[in-house]
This record gives sequence, structure tokens and C-alpha cells, in this order.
Amino acid sequence: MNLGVVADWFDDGPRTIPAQRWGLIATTVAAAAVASVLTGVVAGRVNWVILTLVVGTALAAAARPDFHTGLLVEMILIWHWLAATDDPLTPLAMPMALCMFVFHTGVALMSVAPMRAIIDWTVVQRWSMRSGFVVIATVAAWLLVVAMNGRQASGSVALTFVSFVTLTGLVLVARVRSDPAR
Amino acid sequence: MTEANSAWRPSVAYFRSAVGAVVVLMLALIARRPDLLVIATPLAVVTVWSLLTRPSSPPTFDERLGHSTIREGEATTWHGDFSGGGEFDIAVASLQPTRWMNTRPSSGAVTAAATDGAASLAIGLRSTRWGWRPVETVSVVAVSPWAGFRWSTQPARHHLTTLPRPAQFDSDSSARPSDGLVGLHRSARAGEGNEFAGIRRFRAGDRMRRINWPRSVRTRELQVNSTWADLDIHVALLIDATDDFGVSEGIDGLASSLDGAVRAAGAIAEFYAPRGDRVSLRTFGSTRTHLVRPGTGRAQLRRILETLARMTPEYSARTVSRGPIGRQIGRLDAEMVVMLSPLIAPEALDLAVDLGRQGMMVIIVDTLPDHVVQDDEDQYVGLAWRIRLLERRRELRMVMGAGIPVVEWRGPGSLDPVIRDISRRASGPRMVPR
Repeated sequence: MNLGVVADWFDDGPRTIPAQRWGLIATTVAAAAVASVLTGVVAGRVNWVILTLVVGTALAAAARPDFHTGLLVEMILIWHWLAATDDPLTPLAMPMALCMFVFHTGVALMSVAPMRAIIDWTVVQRWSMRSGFVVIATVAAWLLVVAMNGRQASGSVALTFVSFVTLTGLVLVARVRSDPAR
Repeated sequence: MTEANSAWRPSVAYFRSAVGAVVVLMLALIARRPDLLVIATPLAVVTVWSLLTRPSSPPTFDERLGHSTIREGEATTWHGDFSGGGEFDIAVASLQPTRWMNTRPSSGAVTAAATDGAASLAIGLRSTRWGWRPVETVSVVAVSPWAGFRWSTQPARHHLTTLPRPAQFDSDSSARPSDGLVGLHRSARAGEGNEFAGIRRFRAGDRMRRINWPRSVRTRELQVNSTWADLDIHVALLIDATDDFGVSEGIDGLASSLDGAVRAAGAIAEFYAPRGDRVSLRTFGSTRTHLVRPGTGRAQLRRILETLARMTPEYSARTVSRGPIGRQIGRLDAEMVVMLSPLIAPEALDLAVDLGRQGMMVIIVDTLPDHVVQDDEDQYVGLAWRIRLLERRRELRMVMGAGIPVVEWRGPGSLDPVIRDISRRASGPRMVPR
């Protein structure tokens, strides 16, 4: 990364960035931090090193949302979850998933426009309404996992995966057909 | 109209969601962790949603600048319209910061939510300084739902001409008349005009409406009102664009020497040209010599303002020799020459003295701004300026001693005292070298 760009950002950035963008940055970084803390809660101990790493990379991703730093944040969070937790049915998987979704969506929304731009509130509202469907799909996926586990189905993971794909497809079809404007 | 020449491309966000979803799903299967399926669900939904809603065809983008010519301090709007682009989600336009250009919104970036494949974008542009310069590049982007796919273009730059906003100016004084037979100034001869000269006997060719009937009845012969002919003058504006001294902050801030010269020239032209007087414009010292031949009326004013807007000081081109200044400006045949100059280059003073010796009525308007010596950054620069200004003061005394008035621009009535003085002197006998 060009250091001059970074210097310019620190010189001019804070003055020219609108409050809305600061809000998006805060939401995005907070979502990543909460995801890391949730992992710590499930594991029984919050790992401050990982948390610091996540917050740092999340800040970098928010500063340059058109880079692949966001993917690095997601990979750190997934690796931490996989390594630190061993409860496959924990309900905290839902907020964890939604925190990652908020992080991803926030970075994606910020990558659309320059840092100094104010994103039209219609866009924010539209994305918020869409997020409702994602929340429903996530909750449904967790319920499915729990239900399949309760029935002691053989090859539960493979079955759950197939069910998950089916459910996702159904949600999308229902969504697309219900609102052509999307 | 800009037809899309690029396709919709997957964005970094799409790559992130797709890779994230696939990796987490693979881990879920390999590690037999159904909780990872839950975590992968949002990313998978976003990925599939992005794929299903990917626009099939590039949009048509049409953009334009509201006006190609405005005045200092006025605003125009850049418009961009998307149409027929399938079902994209957001349109974004971002204008690079342009010097002497304010934007609305101040960030220069606007976003709009697309509806039925159409979206309109508008950026307000306010020019704060005269000149002919391009509006910086506008980057235009359209993205599909969840910012999964993106289409971008950069339209060609527009050129915007900003005419100088003339300073306030008026004058009550009448300059020496010319030999023309139109205009507002009283001639030395009787003729068709408005100003009453006297009553005389009717002669063949006199107009009927000039007959003074009460006087004719009393004297029992036809008497007519005679008038002084209305004449115009030719005001030649000479602008010294050798250099631009001082800071230019646009219409809302400090004015440089060239700002002052251009705005004052605009004000003088705006005063004289619409009244029927002929106004011409010549520049010297600029990167190229500008010339507007004598003319009158609003069209002439427009020509002069557009020429002023295209003027650039010589600066680095000073090494290019284009011959003496007198040759650059050519022959002047004017009743009144107004030279607008910061009077730093000695050539300008020499030219003024030469013109005065040719019998022309020359007025020098000093456009050097006061803030030019308030440079606190470098004491040596300040000292150099003070020394140069002392020399300049001596040079100005010599020029004024040669009968050429030097006035500071103060807006309305700036030139009145010198015009009256010169007109009075001009009415007497003059010595002109032959």
C-alpha cells in the first residue's frame, strides 16, 4: 500500500468522512469484535490476542473496503471458532453467523462508494430489509441442525447440508418471486 | 451518451462471500461440525442471491454538464442517467476534487438507489474563479444487489468556461469624442443627437420634427432646434498578463493581480459596450496574445468576457521571445486606452508612455493586490518585495510625470477624476510629435 495514501488519509480523512461512514465503520468493526468475543464466550475464555488481531484487521478492512482484508478477518474468525469451540449445537452460532454477516455487508456497502460519500438512505433501508431474509435463513438453518440432531439421523452433517441448500434455494425463490424489484 | 463498453464484473465483496461460504461449508463437512453450516448460511445466501440477481446486460449511461459557460460564483449541474441496465441496485458518481470548483454535496460523490434499472445522479458545481478549464474526471459505478457485481465507466472530461464576474463600475465623466456619429457622448460638431445646442433657421434637409413651432410663430419664419451630434468612443482595454501576483482564492477570497485586472476589465467593458461605445481588448505577456476587435453591444461584451476567461499568464513561457510588446498589441486607434497592470514588469510602463506620446488618452489601473507583501513565510521574500515596491514607486512617479495617470481600482467612479481631467486637457491644443 502506498504510504502517501495512508498519510493523506490520516491528514484529510477524519475531516471529510461523514458521520454515516463513521457509523458504518463502527458497526463493522464492532460486529467483528463481537464475533470474536462470542467465540471466547462459547470457548470459556476470551482470547485478547485474537480479539486485538480481529479488531485491527477489521479496521484495515473498513479503511480500504475494496481490498481483500475483509476475507482475512472472516478466515480468522472461522479458524478461531473451529479451534476454540466444540459445541456443534450452541445457539450462539446464530449471533456469530449474523455478526459475520453484518461485517461482510458493512464492508460491501462501504466498498460501493468513496469514503467521503453519503450513501443514500434508500439504499441502506433496502439492504436492511434484505437482511431480514438472511436472518430468517440463518435461524432456520440452526433449527434444522437442531432438529436433525434430535432425530439422530444418520450422516447428519451431510443431510443437514443438503437440507441447508434446499432451504436456501427456497428462501431465495420465495424472495425473488415476491418482489421483482429485489 | 456513453454506451457501456465493459461488462459486469464480480466485486471483492462477491469474492469474499463466495470464498467464505465455500471454505466454511467444506470445513463443516470435513470436521463434521453442523454449527459451521449455520455460520456459513448468511454468506451462502448472499452469494446465491448475488448470482441470481446478476444483471445480464450492461447499462446505458448518459451524462451531460448543465451549462458549458457560467459566471464566477454561479453554479451548474453535472447529470448522469442510467437506463436499461437490468436490475442493478446502486449507482454512484464521484468527482475528483477540482481547483476553484465547489461541489454539492461537498464530497463530490453521490449515490442513488436504482429503480427498475434506472437511476439519476446529479452533482452541483460552483465555479469560484474565472477561466477555461476542465471539470475533473467523474467516476461512475453501478453495483448489483449485495454489491456482488459492479460496472464502472469514466466519461470524458467536460470543459467549463467561467466568465469573470465584473466588478462594480460606473462613470459620470465623458471622454473625448471620436469622429464617429453614433454613441452617447456629445460631439464637438452639431448634428443628429439628443443634446440641445441652439435654435437656428430652417435649412433644406432638416427634419420636420425638429421645427420649433412657438419660435417659428413669433419670428414668422421656420426655426429648428439644433442638437449636438451623439458620438461614441473607442475604449481600448490593455491587460498585462506577464505574471499573476498575489494569492487567488476565487470569488469569495483574496484576488490576485490578474483576478483584479480581469474583473476590472470586465466591469469597464460591461459599462461601455452596452451603451453603444466601442470596446476592444488586447493582452500582452500572456501565453498567447488575445485580441478582440472594437465592437459594441452585448455580443461584444460576451466576446470580451470569453476572451478574458481564456487568458493565462505567461509564467514559465517567459523565455519564449515574441518580440517587443508594442508589436504584440499592434496598432491602437482608440480615444481612451485603459491599461490594467500590476506594474511590476517595466515593459508595461514603457508601453504606456509610448502610447501617451502618440497622443492617446492613457489611464493605468494598478492591479497589484495589497496582500502581495504580506508574505510571512519567508522574510527575504518580504524584503525583496519591499525593495521592488520602492523602485516601482519611483517608476510610477516618472510615468505620472509624463502625464499618464495611475489609479487604483476602487470600483464605481474609479476612473472619473482622471477621465474628467484628461478630457479637459484634451479640449485644448496638444503637441503631438510628428
